[in-house]
Amino acid sequence: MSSVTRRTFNKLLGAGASAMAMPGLLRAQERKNVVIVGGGAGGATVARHLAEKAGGAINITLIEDSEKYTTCFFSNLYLGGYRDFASITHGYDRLVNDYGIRKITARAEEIDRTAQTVRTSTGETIPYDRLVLSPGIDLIFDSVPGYSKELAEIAPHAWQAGPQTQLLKSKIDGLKNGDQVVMVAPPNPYRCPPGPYERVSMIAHTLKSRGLNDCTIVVLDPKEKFSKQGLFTAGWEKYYPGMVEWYGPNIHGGIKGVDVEAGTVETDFDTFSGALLNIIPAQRAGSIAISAGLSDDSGFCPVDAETMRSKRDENIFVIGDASIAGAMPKSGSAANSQAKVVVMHLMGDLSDARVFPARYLNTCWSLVETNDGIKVGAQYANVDGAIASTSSFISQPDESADIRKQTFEESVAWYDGITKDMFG
Amino acid sequence: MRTGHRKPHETDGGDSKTARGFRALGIHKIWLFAACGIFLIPHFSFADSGAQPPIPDMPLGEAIGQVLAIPGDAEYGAYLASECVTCHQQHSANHAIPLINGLPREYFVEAMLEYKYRLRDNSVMQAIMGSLGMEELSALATYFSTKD
Ligand SMILES: Cc1cc2nc3c(=O)[nH]c(=O)nc-3n(C[C@H](O)[C@H](O)[C@H](O)COP(=O)(O)OP(=O)(O)OC[C@H]3O[C@@H](n4cnc5c(N)ncnc54)[C@H](O)[C@@H]3O)c2cc1C
Repeated sequence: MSSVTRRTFNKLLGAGASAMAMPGLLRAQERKNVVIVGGGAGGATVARHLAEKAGGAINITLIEDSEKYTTCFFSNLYLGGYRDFASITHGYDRLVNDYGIRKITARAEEIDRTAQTVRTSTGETIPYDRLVLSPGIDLIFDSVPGYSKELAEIAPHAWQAGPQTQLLKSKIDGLKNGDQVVMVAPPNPYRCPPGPYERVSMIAHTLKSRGLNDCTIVVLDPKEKFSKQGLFTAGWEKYYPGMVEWYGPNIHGGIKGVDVEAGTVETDFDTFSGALLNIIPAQRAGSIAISAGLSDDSGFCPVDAETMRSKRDENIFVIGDASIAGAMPKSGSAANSQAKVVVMHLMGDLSDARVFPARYLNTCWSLVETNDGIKVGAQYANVDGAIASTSSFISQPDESADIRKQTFEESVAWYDGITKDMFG
Repeated sequence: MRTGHRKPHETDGGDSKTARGFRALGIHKIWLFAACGIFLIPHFSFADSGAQPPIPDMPLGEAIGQVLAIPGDAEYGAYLASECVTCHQQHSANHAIPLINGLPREYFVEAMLEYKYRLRDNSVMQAIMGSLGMEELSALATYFSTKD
């Protein structure tokens, strides 16, 4: 017999091929309500896949603050000039028109876990049988002393995509030969472990293609080491010699603070000036998850490894960057994978659908220079109550140019795929 | 039994649970496949990121036969496939990642086992197949063979 968990399977409709979509199991007056907060990598995926599986038998409400979603993934390629802004920005029209999802463009302001309702900034109170939170991150601006939300209009973080990304791009485009860029990298845990270093590569690429070879990019990192470090540093030496300087804490001795008006970052070792500062502060779960009491001292939300259910409330699932997902990094790929597990359990909770052991996966692609893509990734499963890696891979330093090109092409196909998977 | 010694690769930011997870998966597999006594992973050495389970001892041809002999559970396959389709989109215009809907069961099983045996060389697929057992593979093959 199989290893899967089997529920009593109510074969009202017979075990047809479409057994996953079983609207007949739920009568109209019993339609259950699923509310999803956050229409990003995690939330949009849940909405679309749940609509597909439930076939109209579940009311799905997606509460998302923005009209359109700009992906952080490939936003570095936009900075590098490989993509335009429109190509990384997606609407919710198909989710609404083709999948029958109700989208409320508003902020979720308060969750009443006893009444099982969500109150929105537009004054609606939406009841839920199950709630999915995928609100992403909030930035802890003052984790870098001297930085603030207001000063991000001068020294962008661009760690939540949208106007911030466009601002950073326009500042990069305004640089002159000899100018210095100073990036303050974030401490762990943060969204997209290779993201800052892909960004460095893309800024260097842009400057180099404009002939600004005397520009430098200084990275002040609170971490001793970073994702795909060997691959990135080899790429920087190969393509952008002399342009990139990376300093870990054993060199700079600690980041003291930033003076955005003066354009300086002070460390124990020295003060660094930049014509452009890119400050990426520390992060925590989106505030709605925290105010609902679902986070722990780390600022992120503990979840059950098998289901992604909040450890604080079994009617709420927390996925994506806001969750503590064991060995999984905070990535769009990971959030999308977690969403599939949640959809399976929503169907299991609200209909008689079977549930199976959770499997998770992640791949993070990064572009170092034109046609030179690298990747890192893993498979994960619930191991003794924690999400742990069961196999993994990373690009090799001695790979051929062909493999690097193929990796880049894979990443483009992945982007195409995941955005269709999210938005239809 | 291969012990799975692999060159220690570059690390990727301290993935300390991996070794433990991998061992536990081996134990799971022992249980799962005790009946047919294959893909046994009692222990192996592990070198941080870039680690894959050892290639099974069983000859490839035999493994293909065994997977095909397991009745594929299409519902289980539907769940597992939901992870695949993020990249393998039916309507994707970009063929750097192939479309897999409608692949015949036999072909699918053979191709996937070739990743597991690392005879095909895409590292993403090798890692995915490294973690999948025979029952899962059979379920996926059945599911995709019925999709168009
Ligand atoms: C520069 C950069 C590059 C990256 N590159 C990659 C990559 O190549 N591959 C990859 O896999 N990942 C990448 N990532 C990471 C990826 O973007 C995130 O991990 C992913 O978006 C997380 O998904 P999520 O659903 O948790 O949050 P998000 O995608 O951020 O979605 C959260 C949504 O919730 C909304 N929201 C929040 N609170 C509320 C509220 N109270 N009410 C209503 N709406 C709310 C927000 O508006 C937002 O749209 C990158 C990140 C960055 C910054």
